[in-house]
Amino acid sequence: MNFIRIIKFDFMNIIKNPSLLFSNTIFPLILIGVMGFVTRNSFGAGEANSYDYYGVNMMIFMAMLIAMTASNAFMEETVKKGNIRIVYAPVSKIEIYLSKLISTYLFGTVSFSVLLFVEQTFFNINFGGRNIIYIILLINMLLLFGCSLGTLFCCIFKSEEGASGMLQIPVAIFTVLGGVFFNIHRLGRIVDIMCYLTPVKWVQVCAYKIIYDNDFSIYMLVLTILISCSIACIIISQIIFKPEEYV
Amino acid sequence: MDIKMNNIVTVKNLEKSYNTKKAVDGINFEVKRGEILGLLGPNGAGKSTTINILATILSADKGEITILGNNLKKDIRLIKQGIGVVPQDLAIYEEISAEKNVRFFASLYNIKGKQLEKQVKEALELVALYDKKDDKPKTFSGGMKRRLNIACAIAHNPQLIIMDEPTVGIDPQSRNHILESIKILKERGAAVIYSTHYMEEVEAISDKIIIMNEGKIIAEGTKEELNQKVNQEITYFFDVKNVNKSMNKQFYEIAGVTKAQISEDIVEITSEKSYDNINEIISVIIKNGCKIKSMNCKEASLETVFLELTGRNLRD
Repeated sequence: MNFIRIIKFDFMNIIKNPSLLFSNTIFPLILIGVMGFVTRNSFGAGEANSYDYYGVNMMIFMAMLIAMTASNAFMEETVKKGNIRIVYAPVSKIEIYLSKLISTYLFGTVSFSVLLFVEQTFFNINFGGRNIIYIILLINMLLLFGCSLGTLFCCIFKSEEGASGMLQIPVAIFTVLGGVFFNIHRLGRIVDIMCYLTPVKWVQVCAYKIIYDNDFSIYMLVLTILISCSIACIIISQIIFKPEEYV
Repeated sequence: MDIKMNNIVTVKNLEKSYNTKKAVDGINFEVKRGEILGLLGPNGAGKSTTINILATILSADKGEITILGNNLKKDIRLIKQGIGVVPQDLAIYEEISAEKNVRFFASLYNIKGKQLEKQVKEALELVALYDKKDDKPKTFSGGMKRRLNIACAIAHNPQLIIMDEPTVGIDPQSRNHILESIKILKERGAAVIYSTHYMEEVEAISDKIIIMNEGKIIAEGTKEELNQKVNQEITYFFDVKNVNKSMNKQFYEIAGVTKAQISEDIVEITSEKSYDNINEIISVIIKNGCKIKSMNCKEASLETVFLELTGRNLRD
């Protein structure tokens, strides 16, 4: 019962934070609009226009950035102060960090699901039409991985500053290799292979297969890999996290 | 959780090391129901380590700890249910109201409904913040935040309250209020472990005092017992007219006098307490043509006791 109570409380803390609310609701729309507008002449009269392309890519990019929201929910200075008392309460170690992870994930799930639906319905961005539900689930699994990664970095670096600073490195590597802003696979075979080492690329390829080819051949595989990576992050967090260091 | 036994905390042979350094080295003590235990010691004495172990967030290397009749190694959740911790750093949410802070933390102890409302109100009243219940802590003064920090720790009516420097950096009015609140908690039957650097606070509220140094308990007892252990001397101060500095030698001829110091108009005589020699000291002063304007005496304070035992000042 305490677990649910803390998740609810953390969820409310995220919603009350204007910068987190903005970066996970309005900002993705602005990003898609700007990138789509700037590159609109680079896309031919094919099936996908610049807004469709950056619609998918920016949502993947922002889903990866949820890791920052997770580290904020866990270790942001004003929140951390109060969280210290939870360590003294009859709450187990796993409930402490898992509550932050789940509250961020729930927040991300709600905001990104609504965003995807709104973008397709009102802005005509192609997320697969009726297949949008699969894209929502795919993005949600990437959100889970992002939240788990953010929580893990908090457990390792023990402060929001440290965690956020270090998180920028894997997030940048994932997004650059994943070709979120521009494709880099043309840079050679080795780079092309490296691109497939990032979950962002798998999600991107999987999403395009579903949207444009109605092809689900790698869907379950990508979901399984994302869930496995998330579980791995949670297991390492359980080993590393020491409540006394949080205090 | 209602236990019949009188001992709230029993610590036996507690040891804790960080790498090769022993932070706590085989300490033993007990805290009884309705008792305030003052924990004194300079930085690095092992107070915070002891407190963190009792607060269940740090595990001991060796030793046996029983809190509220439960073994610390086996029944952590039961123990957590019965203790309240006031950490040195403020552990409150600044962005939500004082009442919501207290209610949220109390609810983590499975208190619900009307009982929760009642206990939240009582906790806020105890620290005199009920009229500010709807205000956010970010608008509070340092002293008010400290009081809210205490309210959050006691709203679930814990039987053991662990306080780590709860009055650091606050105004005297808030400090007095906090000390009064602690006395009320004691009257209600709670046991309190109170760690501080402020000697006068320990003297004012503690039933029993433990002095720690380098991980060990170097003295334990009531304030009077500790004073007796080291305080064998008394110093008399005479404010006199017509000082005759040549009388200095005569004081040393009086049995028990260990030190005599004469300045412009003050005669300071230190004597062993076991000697009843005040009349002789006064007669020496009068015989030498001095006129006594006033007189007072001073026994060693707890600060002196501490210095004597550790060789260090408390705030070192």
